[in-house]
Amino acid sequence: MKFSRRTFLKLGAAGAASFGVSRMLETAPDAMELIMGGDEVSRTTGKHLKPVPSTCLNCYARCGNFGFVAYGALLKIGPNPDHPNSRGRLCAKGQAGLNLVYDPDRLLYPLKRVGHRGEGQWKRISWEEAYTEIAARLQGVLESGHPEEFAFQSDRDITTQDITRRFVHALGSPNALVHHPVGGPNKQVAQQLTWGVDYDIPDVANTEYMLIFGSNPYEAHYMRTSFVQRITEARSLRRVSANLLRTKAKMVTFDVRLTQTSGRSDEWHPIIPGTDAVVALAMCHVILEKGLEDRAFLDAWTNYSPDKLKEHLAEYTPEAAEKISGVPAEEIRRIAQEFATTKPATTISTGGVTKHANGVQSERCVALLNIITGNIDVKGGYCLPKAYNFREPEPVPPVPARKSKLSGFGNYPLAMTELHHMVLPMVKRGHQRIQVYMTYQHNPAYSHPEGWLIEQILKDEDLIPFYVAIDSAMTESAYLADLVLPAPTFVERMELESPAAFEMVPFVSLRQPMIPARGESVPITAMLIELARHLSDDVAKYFDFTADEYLRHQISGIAPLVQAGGLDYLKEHGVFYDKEAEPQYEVFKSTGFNTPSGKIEIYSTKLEEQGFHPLPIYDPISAHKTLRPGELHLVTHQWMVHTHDRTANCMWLSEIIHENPVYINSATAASLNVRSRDRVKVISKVGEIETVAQVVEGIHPQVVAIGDSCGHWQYGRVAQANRFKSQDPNSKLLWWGQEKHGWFAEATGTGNGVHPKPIIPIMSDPIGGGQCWMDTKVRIKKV
Amino acid sequence: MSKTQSPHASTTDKAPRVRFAMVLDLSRCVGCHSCSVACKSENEVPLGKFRSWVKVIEKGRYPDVSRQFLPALCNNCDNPICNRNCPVRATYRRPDGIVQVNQHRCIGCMYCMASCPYDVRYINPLRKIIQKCFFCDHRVDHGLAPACVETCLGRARIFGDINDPDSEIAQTLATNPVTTLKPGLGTEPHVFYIAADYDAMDPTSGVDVNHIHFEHPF
Repeated sequence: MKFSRRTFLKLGAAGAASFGVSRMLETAPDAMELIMGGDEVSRTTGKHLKPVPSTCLNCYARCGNFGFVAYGALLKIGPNPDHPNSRGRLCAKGQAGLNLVYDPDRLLYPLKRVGHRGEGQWKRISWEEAYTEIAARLQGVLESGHPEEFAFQSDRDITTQDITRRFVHALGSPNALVHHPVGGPNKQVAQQLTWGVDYDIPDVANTEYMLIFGSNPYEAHYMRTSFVQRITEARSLRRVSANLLRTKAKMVTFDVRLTQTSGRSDEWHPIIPGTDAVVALAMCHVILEKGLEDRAFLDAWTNYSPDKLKEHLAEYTPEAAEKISGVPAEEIRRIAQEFATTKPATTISTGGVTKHANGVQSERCVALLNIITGNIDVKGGYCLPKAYNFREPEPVPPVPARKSKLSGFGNYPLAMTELHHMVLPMVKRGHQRIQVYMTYQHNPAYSHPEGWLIEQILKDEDLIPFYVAIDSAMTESAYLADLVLPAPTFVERMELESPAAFEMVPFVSLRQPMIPARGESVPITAMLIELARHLSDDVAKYFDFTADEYLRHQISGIAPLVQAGGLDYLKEHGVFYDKEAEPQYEVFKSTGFNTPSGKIEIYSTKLEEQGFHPLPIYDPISAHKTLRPGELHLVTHQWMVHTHDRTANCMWLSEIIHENPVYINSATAASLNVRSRDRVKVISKVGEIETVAQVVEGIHPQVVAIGDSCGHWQYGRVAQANRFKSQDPNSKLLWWGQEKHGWFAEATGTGNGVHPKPIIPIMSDPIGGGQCWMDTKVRIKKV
Repeated sequence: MSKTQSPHASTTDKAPRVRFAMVLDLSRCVGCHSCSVACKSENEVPLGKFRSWVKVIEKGRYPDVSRQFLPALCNNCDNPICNRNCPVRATYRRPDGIVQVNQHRCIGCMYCMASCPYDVRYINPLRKIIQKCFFCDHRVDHGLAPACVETCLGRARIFGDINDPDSEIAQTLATNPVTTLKPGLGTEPHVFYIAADYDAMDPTSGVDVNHIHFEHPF
């Protein structure tokens, strides 16, 4: 419902509640007199447009949105103010979903390769031909008696991974290599080992102190829009009338470079990459030494005594940490004291901590800070995720008995998901033969380390005899496929989501088509159901439903939603949550933790069984020990307007970020005689790229950084910064292409930046198996 | 449901005059460019032009460095120099303070563009007429907040009628230290900034770390 701040103030909280305004929105101090979201008028006719409530998927945050439609065309995507997580805000990526739908180079019809692989010659075929051909190939796999030689790899799917897994398992293959965990798998493994769920929700809206390690929620976080709006709320200094909205929460950031987040923090402490763990442990050392720990919580809810922990941490003194991380010991002492004495407080940690060879242990060390201060699942603390689970319709195909190295976790028994970056290299090394390889919204040739190797493997018809790519854009990988099937963008699909709730009340939101799928694109659910019907009855019996029935079944276990009207309610409102429910804090007090001991496992027997150190330790990264003079750490980073490899074809986003220089500290640059805009080579042990240097102050002198998401060599002409004529007049106004704009294009040969991933070697954390994105050593050479 | 009356209604009803304005609270800005893109989407702004932009600068010396943001848009001044220079009276100030361009009268001579001290007007390369931020007047007339205000992640943007003492913006302006861009020019801008940085406000100062390519996009 629409309501203004003024009516709200007049009614008071009780009145507002009786009006159906949720408890959640009462806390939002920002409803202006004008209508904020959910409505749209045409600029030309002044008429209201038809709103369709849905859910975004231009990143993982899955915010609530509205599509505004007139005459069958989608004119605008706006925010949904009733969504409990995103509360009527939508980021640049969400707004630019419109560009994805109307990308002139979008895939609209099934294509079959006619020339050699990688030549880019295609023939349009019908869906029937496509289904028949894939079915024949899959039948061949089944008849060969090696169903595991069919592998399906997907990305950017969250709830559809269940139906993908169902399809692959129905065929008897274990190789359902579905959605790669956000922020890398190391964080998931660490969290699971420590407190039995695979991620955390820092309750930043209610916190008083945020201690950030290697995280940049202002630009990139897996729950970014929901997350950052609550951080700004906690840090606002604004008064409305006589009321200060809130006291300002402190934000302290340890990061290797000055990001939007660290650049707006109260304190930024530059740190050597991969050494966050030793700082976190030194802080724990100080807290225990000064007796500031929450002893009651530690005794009741952890499996390790504070005294023994103190003994374990004896070696991690602030002085020792200073030597390793470069963070002054007195700063560590002060921040530790502040963190322990400010209640509630929480840490925030993502990629900068976990995308290292010591990712799992480092993440455990950061989590330990919350544990010893008793900030676990309290209001304003470090909270457990609250979400609904979906149900799968019976019969569910049994998990195949056959084992495959691709999905068997091999040397990484503690890994929770398949090691995506290892799949194709393992095929090349002969660990698994492949007959049919299918991908859905997955672009390994671009997004994986040593991408040139992946490209080589995909081109090799002996290694990958038949490759089917399902996507909405001609990605670098789809370009090497035998069959390319068009999938609709997130705007044209029907899917359910239940992301973790920031208001601590679980909710379900529906992604529904704002417009019918363009061209002949078919959603993955319908596609797999149809494909199953082209196969034997043994497979088809697991797909005896329509896409709509499947969704209805998925939510059938959520009683309050079924009562409210189930799928029809969601189609009308877009999102469902129990409006009467109270926020759930300290749920572990009734349920315990989902770990073997039922407590937080500071001492992990699972780690011990696998021969790893059972306690949180700082595990020095071997590559770092051998850093020679002239060598620097390379880190990659996300931009505030891009999502990894998926958004470069959004012209409004690429217009803002399309070039990615290598950021280098001024002192380091001076020693290398490099100035801003100089052309430089960045050389690692697996390759080199040529780009432009940008000398800045806000980066650690031992670190260079290159942004992600740029440098596409396929993915449509917008992503490649090529100007062209199409029905969209904007395509001939594209100005950042090489013929038009200047020095970056001159230096790099393209207007769309460079791609840093080919120079990052394939390397995994020995515990979690996650790719070590941040452990590359490089040299900078002026050209 | 909205309390906001259309400006036309307000003049005939002899109600206190509506004056729309915007406050940008930079303690809440995260530099995310949601406003830039929402504006493009709402107003069909062609590539290469922006009605709303966020300048991101880095300042200081390592390790004492910070980032500062400056979202910029048309100030919809009370004393718009651009209007005076229009030879065909295409650009005018509405009673509610929004500075508009009559798209049918504009001849694309760019005099207004040259006279704007904030460089927020551009010539549409497809239609060859002048455009700029109009506070999403088509939305405001229907009681909706401007697109950038609606979507702002940090709720850094507050929009409303400053002549209505009960409005959030009037109360915010009354109780917070605010500033405007180039106040010395006497243009009386109606986009107010809370916690704005001196260097970010200076068009010739600071390095836009994300956009080394161009100094200013407008």
